[in-house]
Amino acid sequence: MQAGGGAGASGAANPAGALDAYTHRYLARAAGVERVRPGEEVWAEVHLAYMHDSTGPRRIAEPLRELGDRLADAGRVHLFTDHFVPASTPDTAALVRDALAWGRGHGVHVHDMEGISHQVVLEEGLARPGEVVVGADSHSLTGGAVGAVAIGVGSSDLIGAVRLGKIWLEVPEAVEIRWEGRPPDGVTAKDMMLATLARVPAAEVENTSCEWAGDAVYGLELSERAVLANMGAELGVVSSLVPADRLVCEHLGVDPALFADAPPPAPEAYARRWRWTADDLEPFVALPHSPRNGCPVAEAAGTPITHAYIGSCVGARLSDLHQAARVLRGRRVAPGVTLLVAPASRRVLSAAAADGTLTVLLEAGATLLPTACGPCAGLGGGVLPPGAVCVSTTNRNFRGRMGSPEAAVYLGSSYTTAWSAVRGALADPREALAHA
Amino acid sequence: MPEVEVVRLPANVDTDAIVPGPYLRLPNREILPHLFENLDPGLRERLGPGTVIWAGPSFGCGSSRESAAACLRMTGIEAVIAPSFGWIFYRNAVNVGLAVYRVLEPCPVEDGGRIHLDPAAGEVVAAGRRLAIRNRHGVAMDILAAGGLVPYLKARGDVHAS
Ligand code: SF4
Repeated sequence: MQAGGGAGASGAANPAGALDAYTHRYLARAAGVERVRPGEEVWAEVHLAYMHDSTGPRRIAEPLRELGDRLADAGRVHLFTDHFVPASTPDTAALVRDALAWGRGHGVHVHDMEGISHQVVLEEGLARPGEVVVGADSHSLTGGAVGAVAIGVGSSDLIGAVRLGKIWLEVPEAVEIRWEGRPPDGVTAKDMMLATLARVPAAEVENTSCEWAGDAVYGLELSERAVLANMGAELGVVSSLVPADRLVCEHLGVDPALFADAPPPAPEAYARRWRWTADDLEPFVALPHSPRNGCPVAEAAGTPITHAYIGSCVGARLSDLHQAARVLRGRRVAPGVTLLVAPASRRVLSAAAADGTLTVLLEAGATLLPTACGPCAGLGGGVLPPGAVCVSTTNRNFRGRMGSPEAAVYLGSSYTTAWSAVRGALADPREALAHA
Repeated sequence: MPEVEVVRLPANVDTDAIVPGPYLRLPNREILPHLFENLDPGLRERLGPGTVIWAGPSFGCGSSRESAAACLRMTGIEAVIAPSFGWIFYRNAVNVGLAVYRVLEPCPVEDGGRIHLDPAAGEVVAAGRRLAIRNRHGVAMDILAAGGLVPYLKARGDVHAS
């Protein structure tokens, strides 16, 4: 077996030069080997392992006991409550209680009701460039926003990651998705992502590690890059990485010389590549019931809606609330439309309260939900009734996910969601921004 | 060298076809009767000891649900053979101790036909042909041999020593 370790920051030197994708460079470091090739197996050091109230202790406590009930390094393990909080039934309340007790008993970092795990991982700087992040949730890819190799795993993998501090991996092929240019006002990372999902054939991207490139990607602030990483899950990729640049390094206090100045991979480093320009990109929506059903919102405009939701690990950061407020300022949600807002974390909520954003949303008629997963996966309050038509900033619109299987969910940006709530129908937010 | 019956499946059988989404809330033993329900309602009945699934490329593509692999293991089937697997399904299968073998050639026998499966020799003998199992060695096969990741870690001395 290949021993891990020895993957300190000094390992950022890249012996293979530009021939390797970033993902492969980082996996080699984490595995303590010079190079890795697609198809090879490695044991990679896990720098951060995390879980939440649904995937964590309830599933791993028992098998871990069989393994001696010790963790390789509790300091690298984080537990979040986000799926079942605040609990709405005695059963889930007990589950949350037990999860917290397990976390405290095992000395891991416990984040109770601080917000959605993936958001807090970024806020707290827990995911770092070049590191391997393992989360027991399919959207754990979010750490790719800062250039980490972040993967979502099942419960067995989580057990291994926390017990051993390493994870076995079959090295995936890398692909590159490049957005050049600059998105027009009102067009966001969410629109770039929905367009990407509509354009890249599933079979050509699934099970690869995706790396994002181009001016339009590097022009995005961190919270927007997180969209491209998070919804790698919908692309079906193993990890979704925006290579760290100076902005990220400065934000995290990492020496930019280690990452921002690394030679970019040569074209041969990638199995496949796609390239578009964002200059003429329009706001996109994904039609029910798949994130891949994307089209310009203009093509679906006029579809009456009953609900609008601004929430989740992909669509409720401060930047999302700012986008919504820009559209909602001085306006009202249409009669008959329910607009729910669940900020992604306590920090986001505080910041939105401090800068006046929250007041704008509330005065427009929004209802505030707790800073948790809420109705996104149908577990928290705010789920959809039969017949509902909802436009949502979340990442998945599978049938029945947000409540009734008889509900229809359209995915869009916060601009699109807020403006559609005002119009009472799907609408292109650029109409609002022109007068905002 | 055990002789097993082949249950043939097409290409691109995704995890949703293995375990339909609505059942994910249930414990695995309650999901079991619903295995492959949307693909072929009679299929579950055919799976058990003495059978293998031989599928087309990309078996288990789609979501990360570990229950897809765990439930297949619970049927008692000997192995799943395919030219390629979904990345996450493959590792989940290995982690729960479900044998997954990569054989690049298409299945040479009909559905219900019999083959000899010989993992020790690294081959499958079907219709008189010897076809190589490509993923014979390495970490994944060590974990499989131990019966899955937890038993594998249990058997490793350094897990307890740390
Ligand atoms: S917000 Fe939704 S997608 Fe994100 S972790 Fe929670 S349930 Fe999953």
